[in-house]
Amino acid sequence: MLGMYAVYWFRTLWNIYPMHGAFLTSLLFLPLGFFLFKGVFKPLLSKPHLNQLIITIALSICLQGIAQLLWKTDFKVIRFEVGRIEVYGASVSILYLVILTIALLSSLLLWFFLMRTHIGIKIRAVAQDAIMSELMGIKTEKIYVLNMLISFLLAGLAGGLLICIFPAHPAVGVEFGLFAWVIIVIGGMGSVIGALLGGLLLGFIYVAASYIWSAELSLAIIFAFFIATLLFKPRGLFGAKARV
Amino acid sequence: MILCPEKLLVVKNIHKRFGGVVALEDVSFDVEKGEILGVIGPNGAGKTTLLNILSGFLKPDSGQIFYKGRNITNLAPHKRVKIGIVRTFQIPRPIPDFTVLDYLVTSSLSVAGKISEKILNDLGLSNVSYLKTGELTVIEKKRLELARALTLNPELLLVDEVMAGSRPHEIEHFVNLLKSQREKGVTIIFIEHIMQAVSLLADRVIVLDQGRKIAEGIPHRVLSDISVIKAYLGE
Amino acid sequence: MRKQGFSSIINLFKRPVLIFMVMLCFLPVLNLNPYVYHIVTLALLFASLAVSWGILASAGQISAGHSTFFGLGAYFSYFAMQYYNISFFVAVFLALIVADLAAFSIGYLTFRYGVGGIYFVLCTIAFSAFFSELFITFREFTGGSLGVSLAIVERDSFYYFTFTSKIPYYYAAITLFILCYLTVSGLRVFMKRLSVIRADEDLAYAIGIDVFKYKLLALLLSATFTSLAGSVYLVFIRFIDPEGVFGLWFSVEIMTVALLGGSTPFGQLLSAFILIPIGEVLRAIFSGVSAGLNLLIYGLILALIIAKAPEGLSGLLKRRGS
Repeated sequence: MLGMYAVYWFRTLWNIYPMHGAFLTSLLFLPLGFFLFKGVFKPLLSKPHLNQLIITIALSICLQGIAQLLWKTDFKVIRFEVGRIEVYGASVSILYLVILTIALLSSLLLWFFLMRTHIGIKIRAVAQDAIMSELMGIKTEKIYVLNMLISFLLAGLAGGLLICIFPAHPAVGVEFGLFAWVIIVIGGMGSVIGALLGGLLLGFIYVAASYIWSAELSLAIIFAFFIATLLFKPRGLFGAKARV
Repeated sequence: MILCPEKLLVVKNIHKRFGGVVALEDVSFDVEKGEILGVIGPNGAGKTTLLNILSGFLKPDSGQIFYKGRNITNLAPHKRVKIGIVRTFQIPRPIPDFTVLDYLVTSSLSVAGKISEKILNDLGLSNVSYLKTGELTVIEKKRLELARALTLNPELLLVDEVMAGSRPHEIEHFVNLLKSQREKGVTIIFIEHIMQAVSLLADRVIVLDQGRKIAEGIPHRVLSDISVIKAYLGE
Repeated sequence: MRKQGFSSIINLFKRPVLIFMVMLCFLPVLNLNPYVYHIVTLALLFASLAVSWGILASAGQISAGHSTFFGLGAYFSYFAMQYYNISFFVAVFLALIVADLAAFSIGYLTFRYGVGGIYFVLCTIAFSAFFSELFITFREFTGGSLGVSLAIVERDSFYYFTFTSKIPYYYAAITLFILCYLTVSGLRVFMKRLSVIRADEDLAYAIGIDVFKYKLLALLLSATFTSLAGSVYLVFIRFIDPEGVFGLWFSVEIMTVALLGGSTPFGQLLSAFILIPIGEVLRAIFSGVSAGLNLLIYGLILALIIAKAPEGLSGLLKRRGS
């Protein structure tokens, strides 16, 4: 949400080209993530997960409040057309293609980072067993900070890209956040490929169902699907880890 | 189906594995009413797993358990409490904010048990009954754990290493307490590492090693069995 | 015999609550600005919601989707009254049944399949989102995103429980809270068992508690009161919309009030009487900007509670007292 607004500001206030704005935002979010971690999350690391969840909800509400104060509740849009091209007989917006490409590239980069690099292995180790990792010499706190930074980087990027095709309003972060959770659960926790495929799957379902019935019903269907997955197939489609 | 009604507990061919690790392999034994059975074996032998299965917290992969002739293999843990099978936890975990008395009362409610002065006295908890359980010492918590089990009016009491860390006179106290429970008709299965307690308390002993039952018999004989000693020394 | 029954009920009240309630009962005598009674009614509704949320929380299950039951209570009372001309009192009961059915399904599925902790929270959010979208979809009945107004012809009708004055709703809210309160303080054994389940489920099993059954009962009880609050809200405000009554924000509001209040009903009462008036006052003074401030304040309070005082107001009160 904040990412979307940031790029909105860049465009409207300083007329920065949205694409550049998006990358700029993602970089700006790095220090933001760092400070938030130190200030908000670090003290809670030892507390039960539930506390952490509620704090994130609280944080989200605070940010929404700030957003409402700064930008009101109406929808903010960026007008940005780059033209369309023909792909197999269907007219597709170049903008969408560009965004799609960037998204795919970042996913692949992330996958590569997590699976093939040294640090990536450390991250996965901590995810599986934090205590053991600590004992093996991995500095778990640094890993957490790193996770946070990567997460904020990608979120900032995503927000910046999204503003080009969706309107922004304070609650939009929560909406997409919930979708993120749905995708993670359905695609399988801990699997980048799962997230990617899960996202694609959900995207298709959403568009298809919206076309046949309505947007809201398709959302209802997606949530129902999410609940079913949580109950019956907690590992999702590709998840390796079992849920706790 | 009634199977050997004079045996209180019949355990047949229990198998349990966790992922790649075999916790219990083809374990069978039975217990008569009023008997005190000791379960011993080196660490990791599967003793607590066995207890978890007997009390219903784990389901065996295969095998059956009969209690008073009734097949209880798949019976939920709280229902086993209702028919008289009560367990203690190896690491006591009383609820910190409850007072000792409160804790025992809440515990007893499920089976209309009695909080008797006697239980408190027997376990030396009378003078701490108004303290919060979180404030007790480790040994006191172990005693509380046993007290909790006793308030549930057990017919089959499953005790998991309640004597660890106790001093000799405390061990003697526990042994006498458990023996007096037997006088009342309670059957006891206990896991212990302290051999002295085992020889004093148990009528019979079974030995587990790496999930298998490797010996069974009266304590004196089992404890001097070569294979048992080997198992402990880890050859 | 009668007298004995009455006094034993009175005994269930802790003194502060009793005094507070009695004071509230006599407040209308002062004939203050109707807006005051409006705020108090809302505060009482939230207090009831917080207490009923607390029932489920006592069993260790945190729900961020309680708006589901509220919305179902509100909407089904609406359907019954608007389309079938059923009396409010019957409508409430019907809506309650629907909410309980939903609660039963949710509870059965999540508890049977071992969905706990944070996944339970997510599940509750998903359920409320599901209903929210579902109700928006069926526009003809629910008014879609725009919501519906309860249109009752008669001006003052006991049958429909619609009145021009705020005062009947005021007393309805008081009654609801007293109901919630009596339930929570009266069912001592039940609540004790729930707290065992919350503290340590394995221990609960080991002392013979049927964990599944009790969790389900807690959920049903919680849903029932929440649904009742929804029905009262319907006739009080006379306007509901899917995002408002099923929304995540509403669930979070309930949760914040409850968490601030801590584990005792009196705490919830205080908490509601602090937060709700603040929200309303902000709305009155700042109108457009208020929504943002409100969010900010709730968020900050929630963060503070989690960080500093997980026990909420009751915890603070207890510490002061001892």
